[in-house]
Amino acid sequence: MQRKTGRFLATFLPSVLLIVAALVFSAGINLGTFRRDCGDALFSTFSVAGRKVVTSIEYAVKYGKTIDNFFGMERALNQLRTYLPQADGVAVALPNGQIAYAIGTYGFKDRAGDRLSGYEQRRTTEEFKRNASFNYHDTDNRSYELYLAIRDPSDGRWIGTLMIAASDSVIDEYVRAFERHTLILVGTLGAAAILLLGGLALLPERGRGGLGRPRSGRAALAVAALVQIAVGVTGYGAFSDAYLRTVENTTGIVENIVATDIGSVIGRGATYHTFSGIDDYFREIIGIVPHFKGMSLAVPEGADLSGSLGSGQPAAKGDLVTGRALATDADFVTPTLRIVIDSDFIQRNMLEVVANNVTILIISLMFIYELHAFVSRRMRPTVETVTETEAVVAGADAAAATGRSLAGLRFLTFVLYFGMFLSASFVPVIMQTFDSGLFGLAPPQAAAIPVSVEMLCGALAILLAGRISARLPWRTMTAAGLAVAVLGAVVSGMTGDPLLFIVARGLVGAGTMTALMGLYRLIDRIRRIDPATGAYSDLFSGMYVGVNCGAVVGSLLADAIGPHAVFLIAAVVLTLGIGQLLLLTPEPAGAAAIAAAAPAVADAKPDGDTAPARRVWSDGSFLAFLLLVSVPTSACSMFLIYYFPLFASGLGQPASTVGQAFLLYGLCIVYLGPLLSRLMRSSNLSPGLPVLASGLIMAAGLTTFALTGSLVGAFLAILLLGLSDSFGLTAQQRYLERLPVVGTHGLAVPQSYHLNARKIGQVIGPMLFSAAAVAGGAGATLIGLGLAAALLLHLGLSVLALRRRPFMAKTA
Amino acid sequence: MSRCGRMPNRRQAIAGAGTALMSALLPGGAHAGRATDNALLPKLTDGRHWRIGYAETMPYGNYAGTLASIVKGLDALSWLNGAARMPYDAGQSDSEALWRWLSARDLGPRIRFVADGWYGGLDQASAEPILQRLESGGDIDLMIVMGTIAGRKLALDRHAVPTLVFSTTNAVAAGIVAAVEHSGRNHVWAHVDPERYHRQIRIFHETFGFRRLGIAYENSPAGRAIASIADIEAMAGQLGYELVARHVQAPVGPDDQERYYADLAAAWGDLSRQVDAMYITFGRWSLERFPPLVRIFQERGIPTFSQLGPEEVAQGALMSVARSDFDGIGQFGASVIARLANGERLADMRQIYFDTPTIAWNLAVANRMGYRPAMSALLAADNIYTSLGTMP
Repeated sequence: MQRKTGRFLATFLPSVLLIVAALVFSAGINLGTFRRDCGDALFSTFSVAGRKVVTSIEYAVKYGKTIDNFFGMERALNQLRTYLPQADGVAVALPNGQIAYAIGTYGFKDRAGDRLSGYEQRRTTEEFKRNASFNYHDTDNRSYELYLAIRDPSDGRWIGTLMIAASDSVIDEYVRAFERHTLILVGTLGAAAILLLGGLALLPERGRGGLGRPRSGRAALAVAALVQIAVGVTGYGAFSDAYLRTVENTTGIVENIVATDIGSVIGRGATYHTFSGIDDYFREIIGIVPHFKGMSLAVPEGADLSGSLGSGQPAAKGDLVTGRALATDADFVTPTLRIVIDSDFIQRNMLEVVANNVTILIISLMFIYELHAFVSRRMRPTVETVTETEAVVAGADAAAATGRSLAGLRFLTFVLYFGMFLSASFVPVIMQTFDSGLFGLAPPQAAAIPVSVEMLCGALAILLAGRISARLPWRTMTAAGLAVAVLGAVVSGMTGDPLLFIVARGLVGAGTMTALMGLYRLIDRIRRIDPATGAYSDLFSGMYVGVNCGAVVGSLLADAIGPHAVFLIAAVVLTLGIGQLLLLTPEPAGAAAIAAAAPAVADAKPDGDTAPARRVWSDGSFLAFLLLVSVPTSACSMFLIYYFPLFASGLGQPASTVGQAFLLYGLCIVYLGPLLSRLMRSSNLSPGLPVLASGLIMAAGLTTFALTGSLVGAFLAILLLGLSDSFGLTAQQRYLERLPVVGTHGLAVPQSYHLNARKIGQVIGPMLFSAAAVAGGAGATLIGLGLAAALLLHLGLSVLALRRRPFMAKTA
Repeated sequence: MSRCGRMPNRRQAIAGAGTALMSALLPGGAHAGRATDNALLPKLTDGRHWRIGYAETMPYGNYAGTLASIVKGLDALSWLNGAARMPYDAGQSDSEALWRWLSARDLGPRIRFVADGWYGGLDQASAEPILQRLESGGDIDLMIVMGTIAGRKLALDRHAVPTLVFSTTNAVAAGIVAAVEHSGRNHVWAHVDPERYHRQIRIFHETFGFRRLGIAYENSPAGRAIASIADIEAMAGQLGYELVARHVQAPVGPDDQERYYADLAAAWGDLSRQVDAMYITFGRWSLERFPPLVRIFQERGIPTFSQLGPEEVAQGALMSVARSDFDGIGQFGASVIARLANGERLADMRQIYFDTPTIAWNLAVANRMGYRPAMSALLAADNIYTSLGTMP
């Protein structure tokens, strides 16, 4: 009885934990995204009304009014507030930050003060060099703020800033109903799922070919996935409603603005006969509101109004047309304002809402899969001693230990990259928040420094870790790396000094890369025991899930609680990583097993055994591998990170498209990677061939993009890039292990060079793609051909070396 | 003994609040006052009272309006009190009545408006008696002077009484002050808005794109200064239009007024046949006589722009861009007096102040010309008039 209860709890409790974690994560990510979407919707509405007022101000500037001395500004701002009842206040600031006019609640005026904050001044100065507006959530003041540039129509010079602010309570109002609904749904689904899992756990074990309790881990995963899908589907309804409500609100606001504008002219004695340019006026508005296809005045029969009374396109089948009566003039003419809503545009945006929801769902599923993979592999039962021989039991125990080690490796990599990428979206922005400048550097230069320092320290840490790996156990190295990263994250979140912040980012870079090198050393140990292990693909899977989940969760959290708090959360996550490392990541197998398996990896000389006679990079085959494989493949991978965002932005695609491309690539690495790597191992192919194949697939991807030059072509290229890297990254590691240099220098040092060569490729990649962009479509083809040529050259050199050194047979 | 030092009294507190309010209201060029608010407040230890005199070119709404606003500005800065009941209505051109009221009241210990210190009609009257009074240095400590002609007559080195000149079209061109930024003289200061007429011409040209611009003025140094001819000629070079000018002798006295109207009507009639836009400079006509004079341009479809402002648009000019009200210039003028009284030198004080411009259109005039202003132009307009003006 006691044993049954124990088995029930051992099966049921992890499943409950999995379900709870899944629900907390998906509910959190849904609520966070919904809140952000509501914020975006609010800004979109503000932006339409704000731009209209900015246009009016600019027109008056053309007539000689000056921003700092603008008769009628208060009237214009008051009018704007009546259009936007959600706004706390509106203000106009001069380029030097001085607030010249402010209208709103006492709270708003108090917050705004008489100058923009240092951060706001720097941000407006930088943003308005490129953009017409920007918005951000000021988490310190719990306020959503939109900034619009006011420019001199004669020369486009930035002459002022219109600021519109709304407190968090406005979004809280919007979100409350969705929050309640989501929590009820999640609670109900969670309770149902737990009951279901409890029932399954009580079923007897499934016999051979008979009915009974399915594998509890998979059942829990399936239930958790279903629950997440249910949350995602209901979330879609709320997201699409929110979007349609934004369209409706914006249209209503524009109708009000037009009615007020025309009323103000008619009310001062003008008639519809006495003014012209209504078509220009409508054209300006259509330019501001993307879902407007056309605007016109419909006049009653008999009213003889000359000139064009509309702008844009007529309504097509399916388009929605709104109507609103305008002011009656002294000639008793009462026209109707007609607005044609572009149904195609709405549909396109609804599709985008679907795509965003699918993205959220996939990220949630990836997260839950990582948890499942970790828990289920740790829970995998050992062989019953009653029925098996001692040798089998010992082997099975070692295999189970190695499995737990692999589970720990994958989940720790996930935790490491999750913690690291929580802050990825806003580290450059943080530099602008410091009032004290950095050696007089311009904000874009200063913004690049922490990222560069993080990368540089990471690269140096990789080299150093490669050198000292023989003297430092993998666990110590990983723990030390994580501890340094924790320290860096804490300082990043606490400091108000830009220099210290940069130092902190350097610590994060050094710490995380040291920890990663420790994990590579763990893989060495696992591979000594089991050369056929898929440890590398586990590492890359954990890495890419961590990157995706970290980036999404980090940006949502930064929106909600501010970036500084996210750094501290990253520190907590990395600390949990230390906990996992010390408590839940066992050594791959017992000491005896290690000793037995020691010679297994390519006759590898133990790391740092003796001082090498020659420098590692003087080995020709290794150097050829770095220059012709590591650097070019890594440079080509920058298509996704560097080139695609620019390309998508040039096509007018939203930022979410870039996120979807990253996700597609990540999915390939995470799910195709282990599968293809397993196939690669079982086929007993020489590692050189997968390296070549993966490089050629990458080259084919770039050429495909170059030939199509379209978004679909780019996505196809990213799919091929993902496919290539899914097994190519592992294949490169395996190839590296077989190189003679490993025999003379051990694995750690060459591996550190390989990792840094990939980093060099990441630096060269953007330069190559910048040059390719100038050359047009042919540019990407050239890069692809260059990569193929490099790989073939490498193949040729390898064959040549093989003839000279027959002992390398296994390598080639 | 209080460790807090001297506590501000109620009046100082109110003055501080008034200064803060005024600082908040002061726009643009008057921002100089924001940084040195204390420099504008009366010093408690200074018991001196200032005896102020006044002179103007002729009865004119701008002059009375500016004077009233300066008095209000001084009240806000605590240099005097009780000005709120001042008998001034918008559009009023009678500054003498205002002066009588001011001089008859005790407005506090610091400022006194000298009862017989008001002088009008300097366009025709001699300034000699005023200059002799100022030279004697007896009973006037500060002169407020309105208008270009009065300014030219009184801003002389024959006396040393501080003289503040307002409501000139171009004080530098008129020779009242040496430069735009600073007067260059210790006892003379003049308000300057160097861009005002450039702005007007540029906007008029952007709206109608004319090639021949008509203009009528008295061809004398004073006449050219009043009409700001230098600015108009400079803009002709920049914008590429031809200036077509007619000269009209200003009236030398009340008896000469009808001759002036006849000459003006002839000049404008002549110009209406030769130009494709008309810039109506400051003139010596009354607003009541303006509608029939300007009608010739309406009938011939020639757009007209009033240098003066909305007053003439209401009476039949097509458009204007001019100052909104006198509050800004009044506060600026009061701040200059306050600084002077607190010991600053006039020669060091900033003279530039940009009036908040307002845009005015007359739709009845536009309709008569067959012109339909753009909707956006009307939206930006602060004043829209729908009648052709009151005909006598």
